[in-house]
Amino acid sequence: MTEDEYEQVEPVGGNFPPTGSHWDFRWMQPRRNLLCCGIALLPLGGWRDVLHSCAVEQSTQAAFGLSVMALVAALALDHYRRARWTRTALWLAVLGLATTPAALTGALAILTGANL
Amino acid sequence: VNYIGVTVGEALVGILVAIYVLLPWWRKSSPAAAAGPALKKGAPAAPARGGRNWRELRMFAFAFAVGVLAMTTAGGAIGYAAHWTGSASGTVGDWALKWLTGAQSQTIGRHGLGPLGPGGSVVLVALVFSLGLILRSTSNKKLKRDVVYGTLTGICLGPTAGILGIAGVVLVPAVNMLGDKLVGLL
Repeated sequence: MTEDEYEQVEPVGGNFPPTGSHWDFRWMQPRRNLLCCGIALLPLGGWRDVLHSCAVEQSTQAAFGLSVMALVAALALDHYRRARWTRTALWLAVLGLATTPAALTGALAILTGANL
Repeated sequence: VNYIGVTVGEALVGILVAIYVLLPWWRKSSPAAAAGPALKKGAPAAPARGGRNWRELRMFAFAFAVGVLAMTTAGGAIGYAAHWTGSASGTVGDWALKWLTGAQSQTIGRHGLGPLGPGGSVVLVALVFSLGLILRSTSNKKLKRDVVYGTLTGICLGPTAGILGIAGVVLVPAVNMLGDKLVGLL
């Protein structure tokens, strides 16, 4: 089964057809995600600038809130409409959250209590 | 520098879980077992196939390291989950210790265990995420079991004093250094 076919079938509960190895990475859809991640790198600089401006003009919490709202919106969009551009938007939101210090600070504080 | 309160019961749970995982591995991967049944019956010895299979323990060791690091966080969701798990294990261990031997539990936490810094926390989040991916990507029940037991052992034994807690002393500065380098790239 190819990766595209896997996307169409969408097996429920992890009932994948048996393979030789006990590892099964098809659920990650690596080809599709790598492509969308690569495309998301193009507008990433602009999105990071927006988050950085938000942190400077408002606060770090505001930048974190903005990035989380973008992430939730992208997640919902990708869940309800499985297109390549929605996955790209999701990657953009994830990368923006992970690579902007202002947004990463909030995420780290929630997950580990540390402050950047 | 902080102090994480670990009780004898918590360490007991960690030791028991570690024995439960390591003892079968030790027996199965012994050179006699690796040579097959012919060696046991007194037949000509089969050629030795090396020592113990340490690769079988790699997932347990990885999860153990994540458990140790999770206990040294300043707080947050990961730190809260780790401390809650450690506290629950300690309660069970202390109760078992008191019920079996009548002994009162005492604290054996390691003084001077450095906390995980911001850089180290970034690495920890990545490691926890990768553990989740491993659990989702494999159908091997032994591997999944090793991940769960390794994390529990790390949580219980990581911050203890003595040789059992040496992992925390080594791991935390190393992960902090690596994380600071990564954060410096942002």
